[in-house]
Amino acid sequence: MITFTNLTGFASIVILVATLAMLMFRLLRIPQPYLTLLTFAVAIIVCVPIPFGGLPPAAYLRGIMGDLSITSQLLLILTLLQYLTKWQPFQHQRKTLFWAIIVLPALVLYPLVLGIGYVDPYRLGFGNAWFLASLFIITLAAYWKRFYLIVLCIALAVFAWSVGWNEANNLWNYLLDPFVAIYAIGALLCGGASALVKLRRGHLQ
Amino acid sequence: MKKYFHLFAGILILIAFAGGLSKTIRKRHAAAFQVDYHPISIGQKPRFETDFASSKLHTQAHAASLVELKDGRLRAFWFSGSHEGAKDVQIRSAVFDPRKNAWSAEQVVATREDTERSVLRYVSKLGNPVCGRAADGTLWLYYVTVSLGGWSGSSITAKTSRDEGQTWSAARRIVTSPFLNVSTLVKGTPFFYNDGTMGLPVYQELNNKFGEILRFDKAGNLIDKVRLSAGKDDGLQPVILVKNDRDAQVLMRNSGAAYSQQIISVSTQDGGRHWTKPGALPVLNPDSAISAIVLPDQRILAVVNDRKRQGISNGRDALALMISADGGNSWKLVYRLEDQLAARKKPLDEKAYLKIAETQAQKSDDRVMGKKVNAYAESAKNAMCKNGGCGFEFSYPYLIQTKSGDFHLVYTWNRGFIKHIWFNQAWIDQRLKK
Repeated sequence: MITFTNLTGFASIVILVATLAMLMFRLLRIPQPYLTLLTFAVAIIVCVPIPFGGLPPAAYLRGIMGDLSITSQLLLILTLLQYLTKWQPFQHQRKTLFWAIIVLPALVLYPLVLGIGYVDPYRLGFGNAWFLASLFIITLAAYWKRFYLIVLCIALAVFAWSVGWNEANNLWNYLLDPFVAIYAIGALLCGGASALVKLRRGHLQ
Repeated sequence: MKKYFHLFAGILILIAFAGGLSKTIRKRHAAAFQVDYHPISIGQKPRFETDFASSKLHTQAHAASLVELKDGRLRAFWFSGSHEGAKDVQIRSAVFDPRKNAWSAEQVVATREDTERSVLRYVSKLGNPVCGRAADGTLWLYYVTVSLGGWSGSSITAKTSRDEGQTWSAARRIVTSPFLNVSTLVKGTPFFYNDGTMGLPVYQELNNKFGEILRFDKAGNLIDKVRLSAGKDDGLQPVILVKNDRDAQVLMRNSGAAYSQQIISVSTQDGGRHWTKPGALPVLNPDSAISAIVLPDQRILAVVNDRKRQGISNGRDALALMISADGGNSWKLVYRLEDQLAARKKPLDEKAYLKIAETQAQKSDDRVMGKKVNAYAESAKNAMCKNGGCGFEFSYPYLIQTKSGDFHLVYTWNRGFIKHIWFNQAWIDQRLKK
């Protein structure tokens, strides 16, 4: 019997594949009605077991990638909504501060969990009151500043962790994954490069 | 609209963090070990018997572990297939009945295919299994699964059994890392804390090699992990030796050049909250697994490959049972369980190897006779002869003491079979007097 947490983890990979497929179809300039149809078709195809291995294609990808964090899933769903429905929630909030809030803990967490020292911040995710309190303060600050994207990422991750949404029992797995961290680093680098180019142009003028 | 969303976000924060706080408060657990000493039987006759736990021919078998069943029988687990890392590797099991002094037929406990169907993800290979009994009596089998790459891409999968291992639940993946959940492997014997939570010694092999302890609640949820070594310590496959409710020592396989290629040790005096920095014990460890237990008088009984690596032999051609009365600072040889060092002197061809392996097989199990002797030796030869040369391997020991006070040891015998040794305290005392 397939457990609930296997379904939620599997769904995270389906969302990823559907989003990537949708972005590819957009690059191929597929018109809007077909874009939605093709995206859903891809989402269904990756759920169907292939004849030889007996597993759906998404299960192969899941074996390699693991389950995506709530943050990743939220960003992927927002991307899908943006291009399939033209509704662009929090588009203006996906900017430097947001990506920096993802990158900074990732740069500390991943090297340390890979064993470069004795400190293991992953332990905090098993239910540390100080860690939870820190997240609460960050979320309240974001709420006060109406930075809803940060509010949603953290609050949904904490909620999902508290109800055991994914197979992980550690809050870090709900907040972050290496893929969103890499994407955030890329976004920051692109933003930085773009700002430099603008600055240089302004200086030349 | 914006006003309503602001209200929704506020309610979401309250609900999420109330849930998070509730989960955090429930997480309290004690920092004291459960001591699990077994009695020393007085007036026993010395016992030392050997046989093979596995029986499948022409296959490779490795990384055995043991658990005692409620009725005093023993269940062994190991992985078996055409070679280590092959897609056909299965987790197999057999039951030893001390009253009959015999092993049952092998039983398949987990395959790659049934595991990937249960965990709904691709699994490329299976590895080391270990089994522990939870506070409610359920058997928990933890085994290594890999989806991508080598053993450094491992994660842990678990199955449970409520009928002493006759039937097993669907597999369940344990998430132990935020980094793609890779590089956690099992080898050491599970142990308990005095609140009923279970500790599972594990190790990581990606980038840095280091040992850790995972802690599971009574429902099998991972609730904490503690690092035992780090950086370039290269301490692998920790074995936890609980001495009393506060004190424990950990022995680790030395997989690097640090600590003069000797066994690595750390210890705690506060129930596992804090551990000392690693140090070396005066026993050679040629990057090979060790197994050990603590006797009621606090002596440590260990099974180790204690010779240097050399050529095709990676130091696993000799296996020793050793004892220490001072926390591992000095050791005395109880018995040399296996010794093929003489074969290092000149390269062994297949014919010479077969001859030695046949003699070994007969000595190991007196039920191996007739045509079976050659089949056992052939199985070993297929695994141990490569590129024109042959070697011997006696590795991955797993030692337990049962409720009766007797000791049972299983280990890999020339990669072809799992060898079992049954001995008692009287035999150890007799050996130490010699």
